[in-house]
Amino acid sequence: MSPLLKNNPRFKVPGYLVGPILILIIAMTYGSLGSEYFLDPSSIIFNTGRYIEIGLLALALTFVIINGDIDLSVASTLAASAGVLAKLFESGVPIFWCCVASIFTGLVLGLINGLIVIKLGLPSLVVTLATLALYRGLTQVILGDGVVANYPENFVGFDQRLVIGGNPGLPAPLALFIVAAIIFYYILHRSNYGIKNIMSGSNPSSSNFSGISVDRVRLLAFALSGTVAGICAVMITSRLGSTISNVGLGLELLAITAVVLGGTDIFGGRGAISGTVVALFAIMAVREALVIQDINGQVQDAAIGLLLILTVLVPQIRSYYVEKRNRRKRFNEAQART
Amino acid sequence: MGGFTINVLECKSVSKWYGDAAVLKSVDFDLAQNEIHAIVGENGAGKSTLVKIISGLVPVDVGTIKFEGSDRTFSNIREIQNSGVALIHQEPRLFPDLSVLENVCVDYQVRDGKSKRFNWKKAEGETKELLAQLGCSFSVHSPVKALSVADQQMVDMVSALRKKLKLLIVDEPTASLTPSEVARLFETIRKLNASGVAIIFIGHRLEEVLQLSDRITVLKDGEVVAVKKTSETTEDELIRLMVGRNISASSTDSKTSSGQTSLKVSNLESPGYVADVSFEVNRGEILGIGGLVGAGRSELLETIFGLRKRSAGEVISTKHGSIKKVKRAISSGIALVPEDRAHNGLFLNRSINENLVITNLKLTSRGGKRNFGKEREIGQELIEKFRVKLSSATQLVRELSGGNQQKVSLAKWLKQEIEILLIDEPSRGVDVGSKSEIHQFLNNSAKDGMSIIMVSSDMRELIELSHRIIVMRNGRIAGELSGSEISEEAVLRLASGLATAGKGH
Repeated sequence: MSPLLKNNPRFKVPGYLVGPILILIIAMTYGSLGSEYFLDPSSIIFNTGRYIEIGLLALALTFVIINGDIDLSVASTLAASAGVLAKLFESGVPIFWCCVASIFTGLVLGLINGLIVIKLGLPSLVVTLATLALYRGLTQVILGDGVVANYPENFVGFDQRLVIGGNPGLPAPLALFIVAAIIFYYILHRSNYGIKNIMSGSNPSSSNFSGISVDRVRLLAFALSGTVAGICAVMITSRLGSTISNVGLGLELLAITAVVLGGTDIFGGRGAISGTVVALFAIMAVREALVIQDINGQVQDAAIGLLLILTVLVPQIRSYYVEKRNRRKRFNEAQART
Repeated sequence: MGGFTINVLECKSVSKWYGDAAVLKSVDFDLAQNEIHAIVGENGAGKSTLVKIISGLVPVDVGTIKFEGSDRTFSNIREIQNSGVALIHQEPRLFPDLSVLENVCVDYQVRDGKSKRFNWKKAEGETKELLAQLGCSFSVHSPVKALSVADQQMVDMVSALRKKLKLLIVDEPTASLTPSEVARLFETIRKLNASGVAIIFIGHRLEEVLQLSDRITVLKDGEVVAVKKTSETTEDELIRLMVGRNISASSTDSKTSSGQTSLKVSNLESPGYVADVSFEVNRGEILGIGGLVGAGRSELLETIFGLRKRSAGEVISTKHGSIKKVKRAISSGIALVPEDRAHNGLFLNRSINENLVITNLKLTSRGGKRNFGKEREIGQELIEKFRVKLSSATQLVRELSGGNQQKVSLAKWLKQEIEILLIDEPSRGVDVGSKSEIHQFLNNSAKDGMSIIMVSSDMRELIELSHRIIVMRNGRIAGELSGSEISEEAVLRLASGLATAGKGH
């Protein structure tokens, strides 16, 4: 941390943001060495389009993970919702109602995840690993090998639209993400649901003893995650203009990476929306920088994986040494007493 | 059992401190080879610490321990395991998913002569033989978690017997056993003793102690107060020695309650823990609940609060009617301060303010939106009221001392109007200063009309604070004491099943 950040309380950066911010800065520097246009605002903004779905999924997942749960099935939920949208559209339902059905499908699939986890008391890791396969399989049953395309003109190209015109303008997906981030920030950090969410993850037993319905808090988080996946299904369909059964394949890993990289404790009880947002942009910067440096896709994935391990590991190592020092101090004090 | 000739074990002026607290103060203890020596004492008298030191699990601070004439010092766990001393805990320490045989073999290796392979066949044969000797009929292949606690203790015993056993220590083994299981256990212990194994037996139930032992050492507050031959003592004498002081119902006159019932519990039952419990509490009354560990006291509080499934019975608040769920309990002015504050009461990794606010969200927020100003205000008010010592309200609760943590655990309920306070072990792990502050708070609150139901294993606390005491045993009410009937002796008698009833039940 630079001395400016360290000593001036006004600029105090929370610990969980330090890692992602450093990654962001390094990636942007590295990218700008590859191309002078890398740091061009309009190119940055244009590039965000492909990451917004990941970002929205990550925002919702932040709640699930803070609870100490996980939802591996978000990308499959997205696919199933997109499948419902496509199938309904093919059979002549107006596109608006297709979108509503898509979001509703997401909500239902999220609730199914939550109900299985909570009512049957199964670990969410296992349940959503199963529904990851199940929902994807359903999508394949719905869509087969076919492609659904020919969506109406006014539906496709959502990402090409500008909310604020000009150069650089504000494209609709980014605007949506900003609004969503603010809303989610308020829910997590300024609402009763948010503090219940954090406390439930921090200590479920104490939460129950304090009159919080932990099960309901968890169920709501799963429902939220599903609903957002349904919304992302609409966005991705509009962006791509077509639907196939492997839509959004693997997005869950990037979304979870963003959440964990942003400092949310994978065991629950701690996390922040700002962390998820900064981490999302850090991931984006790393990937784009590697693209511009002409480094292939597999290496990009490897780089993200490595960064994730480092970010999670460094604070662990640090706390290990702090704990060790404290133990030695306590031991010495005890020795001095006798 | 005539004269005790050879002493297997001799402890001389053994002392042990945990932090600043002395748990054992210059304890002398000896044990003859053919002897069953019982140790009795109240909770916290130092019994378990003493046997842990003897078995080598805990190092001694001051004093010497001689086993078969030589000093007992160890450099690693294997030396302890091979020293011929085994400790059997109250709760068997086994691997629940492994089979009986695997559990027995965990720290004992049977090898085929030269070959390095583990000889399961031989191990199975030996284990079966030992089990047969102990009169056990379960299969060596059944997983340990499928066995009853009594059978699990037998497995523990067999693991101990696999080695050359010279001294067996049994720490409160009968707490969760049925009478016939106890009989079988005692028979086993006697058989072992007859075959030359010295026995140290820790027990809470004095009748059992008297039935089994040859000699009894009474510990109190970390000191040996008496060593008696079993044939020369009585239950009454032992209880007197354990208690050591006569503070029966010290300040009863100031203990008045209004006589208005505020909570009525009838025939409450929670499967496995609480059976057929009925009582009433008045406004302004402190109702103490005594009993041994595992008697179902904490579970009773949790059932009243709506945290545990109940299979029968009712909890009725005079003002708010029937109470079934936690939310309803809280909105009816009932609060529970649990025994295990780290697990059930507090959020150690969150700030003090968050811990205080979480039960007061209705007051600090509007339409689900938090108001940080109000949260700070209420947090500050509670912190000042309870004189919680802290560096800032955003400090993590983990960093507070036990006493201050307990204050937070209590304070979080007290912004709302609490009519009935359920408090479980109010001063466990709490320093003396905080303890007296908490006691003062409880007394004052009762004077102001609050009903308090307090579970406590601290006899002095129970007797000094309570207006009335219900003693529980095996999930049921063993008896009720009030006024001049209240004494440590009476509570102990009811708790250990020596007396059947005070009155009423």
